[in-house]
Parts: sequence; structure tokens; C-alpha cells
Amino acid sequence: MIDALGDDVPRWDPFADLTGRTLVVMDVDVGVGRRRRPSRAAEAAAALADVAGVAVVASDDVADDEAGLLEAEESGGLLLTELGIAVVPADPDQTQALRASVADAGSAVMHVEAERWAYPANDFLAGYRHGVTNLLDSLQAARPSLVAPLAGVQAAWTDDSVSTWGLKATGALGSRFTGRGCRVSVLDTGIDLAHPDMAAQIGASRSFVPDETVDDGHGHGTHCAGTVAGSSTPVAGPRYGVAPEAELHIGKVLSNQGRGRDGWILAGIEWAILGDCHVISMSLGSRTSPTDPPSTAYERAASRALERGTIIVAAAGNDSSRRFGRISAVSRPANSPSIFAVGALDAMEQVANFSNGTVAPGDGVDIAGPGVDVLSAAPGGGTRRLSGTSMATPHTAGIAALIHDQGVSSAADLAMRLLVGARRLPAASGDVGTGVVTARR
Amino acid sequence: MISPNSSEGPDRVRVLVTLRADLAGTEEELIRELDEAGLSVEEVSSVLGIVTGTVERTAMERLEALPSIEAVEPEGEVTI
Repeated sequence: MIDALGDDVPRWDPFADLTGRTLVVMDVDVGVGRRRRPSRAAEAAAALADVAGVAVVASDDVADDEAGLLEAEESGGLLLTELGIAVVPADPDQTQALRASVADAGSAVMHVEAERWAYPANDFLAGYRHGVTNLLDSLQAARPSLVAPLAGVQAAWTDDSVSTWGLKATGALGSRFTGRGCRVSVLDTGIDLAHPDMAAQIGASRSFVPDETVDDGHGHGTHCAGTVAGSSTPVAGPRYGVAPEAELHIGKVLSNQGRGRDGWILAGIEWAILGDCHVISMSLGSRTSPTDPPSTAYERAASRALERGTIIVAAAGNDSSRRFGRISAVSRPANSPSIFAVGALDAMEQVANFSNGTVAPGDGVDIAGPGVDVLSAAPGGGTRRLSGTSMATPHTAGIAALIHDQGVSSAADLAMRLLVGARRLPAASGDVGTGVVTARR
Repeated sequence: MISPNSSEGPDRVRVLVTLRADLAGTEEELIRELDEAGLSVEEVSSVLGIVTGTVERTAMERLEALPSIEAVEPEGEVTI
């Protein structure tokens, strides 16, 4: 869609975050501390000069010279001796020469790539959110018709014999992807392990609730897991699973009464990370006030998850009563900057009455999904209908699995594509983020 | 793990302790340090860098002042 825009419309610029400098990974063991071999640092510098005419200063030669270090960082080349990486101001010809030398036998240059501006690790999603929101706002100003449905046209999705309304609204029904190869951890009240619509998709399960097995004595976890990976051909009724071939890792972190402790949830997150899950779906939370800062512990957990290739999506919370004008702040832990906060929509694509929203800067809803009158699995083998941001969250996790199935494996790419791929709604971004979570066909 | 700090009692609170990312030392040394500061350690997640346990309310400030600790938060209850 972006490529089809006219010249007068701001474009998504994939090069916008390039610094203009080049990173060169060297195959030279320079050594560290007492092991350091100055001759090897000179060897690396000579290789860069020979291949591309690039001059570098070794970082430990200027470690005590602040001015020299700054000059090397800003205008010259700097060889980071402890890392064996050079950061150089190479022009296109020099960069090409460096790239060409990678294939040479015995070359000291292992890898060449453009240097990029980095977001702080704990602001990983916020960086994408900021970029996408700015792009959409620019588009809204320049070409409103491109980013909002036509005036007077309102979606009205319905369940039918083929699928639930949510699978239609998100595009999951028409997607050729199935979530195969993606491991999704659902941290909730457990699961009906024998449910015929998803038993085959359960790759791992574990209870973190003392004295309770992973069996779902509540029903909430089974419903959420069904939305993620229920069969494309359920035993009875329409299809309700977004990513029917995703592998489920079920962590029971809430009791059969639907309550849990932060410690159980954090243990579940760790288990999912160690199980190499690509996505963690958490339809849970605790109420916050607009002045509450995000939890340091959950932010740490989410940033560690991202570092290891796992994204976390969580329910924005159900504390609002919008028909009386009350919008509550996003729940904890969805209010953590590195966790996707998911709001809920009804079948008319209106923000659900109960769905929490953005009430403080920097703490808001990232994306929205179907969350009212959602049909999915129930313990005992059947189905039932539930409403909540809890239902919107597994829709989002399922779409993430479909995106992963397209070959998008890094957490950074998955996060970006979830946000950028959302279908824009004529609603405040504070309520729906970048829009309806949407699958690619 | 056996801790001299009781995990029961009305003045004790359950806490989440986030450790500094650049922490040095072994897990044993860390647990000993936390224990000496009054924390009864229950779980240590080395992957996340988070410890859960209980501590006297009056000892929370002392615990948070340790150089190895980034934050101490009361553990909360979460629901569906």
C-alpha cells in the first residue's frame, strides 16, 4: 500500500535510521587486557586501509584521551578492540570494496553492514510505536482517505458456519499461512488437555500454581488457547482458531479461581523463553492508576524476552465504562513499554465499552483485536462465548504466529510487522493503537 | 534453600526484586547478600534477573539500597 502512494505523501523510509557510517566485523583476534596483542590491532587497521583506504584509531589507544576518542567516533574511524568491530565513515565505493573483500580467502573483513541509530533496549516497542504512529498521522493529514474507511461505511462482522467474526475481521480466515513452526505460549488458567480442537497442537504444558495441575478448572485459558490455535476443522461449529498449526506451550499461571501472583507469571515467562517460544500471550492483568509507573520487573522480563526472540502480548484490561465516559488506564503488565497492549473491538469495529485506553503519555494501547462475543473452546470439548481484552489478546498472538509463518523470525521484525500491518480504524489511536491486528493473505 | 528469615508474619511483604543487568558474582553470593539484607529468597530467575521472596516492610529500603538491586516492588495479584 505504501508503494502505491503519490509523491506528495510521506513515505515509510527504511533508511531513515541509518547513521551514514559502516560497521565492519573483523576476523582478527586483537585480544583483551593482558592478552591484548597490539600487532593484531595494527593488522586490522592495515587491512581496512588496504581494502578501502579507511583509517581507524584503536579504541584502547585513545581510551584515556577523551577528545581523541570523540574525534574518532564522530569523524574518523574507530576500531573497537575488545569487540573486533570497526565503525568507519566509508563512502559507497569504500563500502563496496569492504563488502567485496569478505569473500576473499584470508580476508580480515568478515561482515559489513550499515550502522543504525538504536532505541534504548527498554524502549524497543516504543520506538516502533512512535515511528508507525508518526507515519499514520502524516498520512492522515496528507491523504485521509488512504488510512480510514469511507465515511458512512461501517464494518459489521458476523459469525457464520465457516468461521467466527474475529477470523474475518483480522483476515485470518483468508490467510494462506497457518502458524506452522511458531511456538506460542499461552500463560493463563491452563487448558483442557483433551479438547479435540487443539489437543494435537499442545507441545508443552506446565503448572506454576501450587497444588494445581495444568488442567483448566476455570475455562478462561482453554478459551484463549482455542483462539490462538484451534483446529481449522473443529469437531462442531465454525472455525475459531487464528493459527491452527501453531504449537501451543501452555503455562498455568492463574489458579482455577482465575487469580495469580506476579511470581507465577514471571516464572511462566521464563519457562516460555527457555522453551524458545516466539510469542507469549497473556490475557491477564491488574488494575493501575494513570500515575502508576510500569513495573520494573515486568519491563525487565519483556526486554529479556525480546533479546531472546520472544514478543509478549497482553490484555489492556477491562476496567473502563465508556458509555459513562470513564476510560481506565492500561493494566499492568500490558502498560510495560516492551509489551504489546491489546484493546478490544466489537463486531462493528467499535471500541468495546470495557476496553482500557491511553490516559497517560507513553502508556497506551498498541493494537486492537476482536474482543466482544467471541466464540472459542470450552473445557469438556465444546465451545462458548466470552468478551474481554482477554479475547483480543490471543487473536493478536495468533496473527503474530501467522506473520512468523511468513518467514519473519526475529522479534524486532515480528513487532514491526504486527504494528505496521494493522488495519487503520476511524478511532483514536489511544484506544486502538495502530488499528485492527491483521493477517497477510 | 534454607533462610534464617521467616517467610511468614503480618509485617512481611512479598516482593519482586529486579537485579541490575550488569551484575557480577555468583548466584550463591547474591542470595547471601539478599538474605543478609532481610530477604527470604523463594525463587531466582537468572534468565530474567528477577528474585521473588518476602521481606519485613521496614527492611525494604535497606534492600533497595543494595548496589546489586535495580528495584524492589511489592508482588501483586493478577486476575483474568
